[in-house]
Amino acid sequence: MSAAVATLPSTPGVTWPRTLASEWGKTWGLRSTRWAVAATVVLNAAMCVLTAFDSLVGPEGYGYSLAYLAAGYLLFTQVPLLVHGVLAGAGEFSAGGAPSTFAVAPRRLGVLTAKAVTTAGVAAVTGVVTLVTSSLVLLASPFGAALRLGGDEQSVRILLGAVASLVLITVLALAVGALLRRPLVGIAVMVALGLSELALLGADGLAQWLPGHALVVLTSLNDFVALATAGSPVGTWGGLAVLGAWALVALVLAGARLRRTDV
Amino acid sequence: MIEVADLTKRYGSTTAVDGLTFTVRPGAVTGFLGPNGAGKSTTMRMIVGLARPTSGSARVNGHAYADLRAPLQEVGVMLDGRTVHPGRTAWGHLMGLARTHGIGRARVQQVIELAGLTSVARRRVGGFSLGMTQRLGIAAALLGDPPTVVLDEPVNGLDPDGVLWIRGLLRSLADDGRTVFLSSHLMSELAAVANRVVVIGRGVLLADDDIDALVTRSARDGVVRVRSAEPERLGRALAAAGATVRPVDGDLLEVTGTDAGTVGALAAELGVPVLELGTVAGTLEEAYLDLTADAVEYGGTGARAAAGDRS
Repeated sequence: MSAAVATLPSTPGVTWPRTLASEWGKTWGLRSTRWAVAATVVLNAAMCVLTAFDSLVGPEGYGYSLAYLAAGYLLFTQVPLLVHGVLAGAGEFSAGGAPSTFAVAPRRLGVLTAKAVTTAGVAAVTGVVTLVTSSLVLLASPFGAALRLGGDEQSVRILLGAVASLVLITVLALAVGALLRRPLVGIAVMVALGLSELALLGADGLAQWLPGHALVVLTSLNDFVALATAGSPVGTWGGLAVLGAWALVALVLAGARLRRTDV
Repeated sequence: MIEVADLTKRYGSTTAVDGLTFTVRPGAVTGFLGPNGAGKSTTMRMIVGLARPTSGSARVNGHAYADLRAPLQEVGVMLDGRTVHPGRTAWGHLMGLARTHGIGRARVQQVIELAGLTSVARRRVGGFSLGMTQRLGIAAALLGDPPTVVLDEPVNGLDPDGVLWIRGLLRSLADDGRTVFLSSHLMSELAAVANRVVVIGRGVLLADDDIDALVTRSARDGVVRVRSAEPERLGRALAAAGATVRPVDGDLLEVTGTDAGTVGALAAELGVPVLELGTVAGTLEEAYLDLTADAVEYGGTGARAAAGDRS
């Protein structure tokens, strides 16, 4: 076999960019990733189809903000993305593959950060495609011509906030998966963390410190944001910092487990 | 070259690997042998950095595994068990490994052909037979054309064609001057391919020797079998001459502590007709059973007793 080995790289070795390229290729090579992205896009678009027949759209109800109508269901429709995040973190441990991955790239924290960046990328792509698709669905609806396309401060906040929240909560899901190494437990934890916001909306004091809060506040209309953030130290954009802190702590814990224990 | 020094791994109160020291040299196939549960996989996982030793160290090509800059191009690894995500294709799995080292598609294609996986490269690994999974593991181990390969039970699940293929492959790797280290719990399999063998039982080193040298250490080696017309009289005379005699069945004796020439001469002296006379050559299987007699973790007593009857 040594006679005709195909060219090996002139600068051998594992580097972080190479690890990232590997993880990016690996995640898109899995059917579960493609399903999760498709499910998020389709679920959200389906909700927008229902919205197209909703008599509450308009000046008397939800208003005519395209950004709000497109992003308003993400709290529910993000669930496939959360599942993807957990699987990206836990899948190699539960289904197999972790020994190969970590034997080839022994710097384990480099692998974890590459996975985190990969997952963030998947979430960003999913968020943008979801919002674009759902907007097109809404524009084709009976009231499509009346929708305000945005450019105002509220629309920018909703669109940027939605994508940023999805990215961070998916990274949190990855870290929870990598920490627990059990997909089902991880999914249960993430659905609870992501949606507990609903049950706690009344209890402002606690709700604002939960990871699901950022998405709810950032994708709401100005009036609701004013109501939800009144007297809150977290504020409108502060929810992203809270969510980011959750993700960071979970990543640090996952990294500590990865470094200390056997694979 | 793999150097293992005083390597120990404890899980709570269980000691899986206990102070192992051995060296695996280039240019030879070294077998790693022991009963199930002896600590072979744990040792291999410590060599490639997946499990952390409680104490001691393992070095590959002179470095701790974690310090290798390009592990794929230093040590090819194939571990036992679920090492591949079942949702990936063979191609996807190998590309995922290759990309970490900047290794290109041409080399991935090459190892797929080498391992005979061309027709299933785009199929998901979850549907692979054990033999195909083993071939994929070997393809992965060869990706970086490494000077050292570590293979955990590579023959497991291969069909006879596959077994012949891997024997030839391992020999050619060793002939290239590479270090080849493979584990097995099947002595006969190792006997067909290995030059050296490291034997462990219950995590402890039992032997580290050339295969030939190990065979001569078999308790059976050098036993004289003699079939005669008057086994009782011959037996008494042999015992009187200081040999140990064990009647086997009917007119057959097994004699230790002497050689065939002495037995023949004595029989002639006594005028006992000898019907059959020979010396038993030890086998690796027997040497292995002798070594591990006390070190079987999950032993069925019946099987062990049956094997023991022969020796």
